[in-house]
Amino acid sequence: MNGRERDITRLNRMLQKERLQLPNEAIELLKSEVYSVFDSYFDVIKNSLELSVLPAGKGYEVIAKIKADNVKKLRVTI
Amino acid sequence: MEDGSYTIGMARTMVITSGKGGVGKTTCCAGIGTALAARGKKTLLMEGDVGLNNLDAVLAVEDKILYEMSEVACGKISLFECIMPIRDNLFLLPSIGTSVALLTAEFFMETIEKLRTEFDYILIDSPAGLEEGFHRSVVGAQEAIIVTTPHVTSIRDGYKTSRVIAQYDMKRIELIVNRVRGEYVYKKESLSPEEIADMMQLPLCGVIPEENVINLGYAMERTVAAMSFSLIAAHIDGGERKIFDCTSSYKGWKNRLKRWLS
Ligand SMILES: Nc1ncnc2c1ncn2[C@@H]1O[C@H](COP(=O)(O)OP(=O)(O)OP(=O)(O)O)[C@@H](O)[C@H]1O
Ligand SMILES: [Mg+2]
Repeated sequence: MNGRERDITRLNRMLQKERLQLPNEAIELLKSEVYSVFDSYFDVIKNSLELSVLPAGKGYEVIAKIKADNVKKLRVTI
Repeated sequence: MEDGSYTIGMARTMVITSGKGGVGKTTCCAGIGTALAARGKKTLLMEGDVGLNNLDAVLAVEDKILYEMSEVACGKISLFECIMPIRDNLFLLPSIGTSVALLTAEFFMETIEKLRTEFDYILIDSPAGLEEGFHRSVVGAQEAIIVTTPHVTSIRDGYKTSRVIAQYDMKRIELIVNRVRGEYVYKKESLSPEEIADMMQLPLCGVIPEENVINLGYAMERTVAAMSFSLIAAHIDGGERKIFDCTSSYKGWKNRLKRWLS
């Protein structure tokens, strides 16, 4: 891969990240939904939920990470 | 975004911005202004980078400034006294960085409104960044030109800037790719301006090559950059679609031979 091709790959990723502009309220809403689902299966530690929206292929991937008392660490792709 | 409707007798107001610093906003502002003036359009260049002003330096008039915008803001002089003639059809509304707190976004908007019937074009040179100075430069403009170089960091910042600018209800947002090195584009070692425009999802307004010396104040006419600024002015003012081809001197066997022999 030459410099130009590497630049194209990196830029496509960077700009794709910028394109996704979920408002904060939407992220918060999503967080509370995901939290309540997890909480019905695990003893989720409060405020331990991390949600990230990342570009994957041509779309996006929502990744949730939580800490719970009865599991070590949980990383789920939604 | 683009509706092509411009009111006759009212200046088109354009902000030249980039997000990233040092990519050529001021050079483009002065270059496009000079080229529009050469087409007979009465053009005002407005210093939007009020603290780190450089339009005056790029135009080589830094020693000739009598008044500056903050003196208008505090009522010491009239707006028209402050407008400085540079050459035929080209004028500058300068700032030299004193009392910049007076130069608010409201002041910029009011000033532009007052001057819209006096000029054909008002070009505002924005500072780097997306903060207060950016907002001040953008609020009074109806069109935006984003300047980028072919570098990843500049493209990324330019893209972010275009997303922010889109929230300002612009009539048109276009892209200039500056400091393009034809040789590298030709050899496919660097991104082409078209590829950059495509990625940034912006229409290409023009391309300016990397020059050894860009000296708008003195010998602008003789540079290749001058030619590319004329094409940009023809695009803005005349709707022409010709984009400067920085690879042309690398194409064809004759050119290749010439380069090889030199
Ligand atoms: N096409 C070009 N070829 C060579 N040098 C250039 C070119 N365009 C700009 N420059 C040089 O790059 C430097 C920065 O240009 P300029 O001041 O126009 O950038 P800017 O975006 O206005 O910077 P700032 O963010 O500090 O306001 C200057 O020294 C200028 O001469
Ligand atoms: Mg500048």
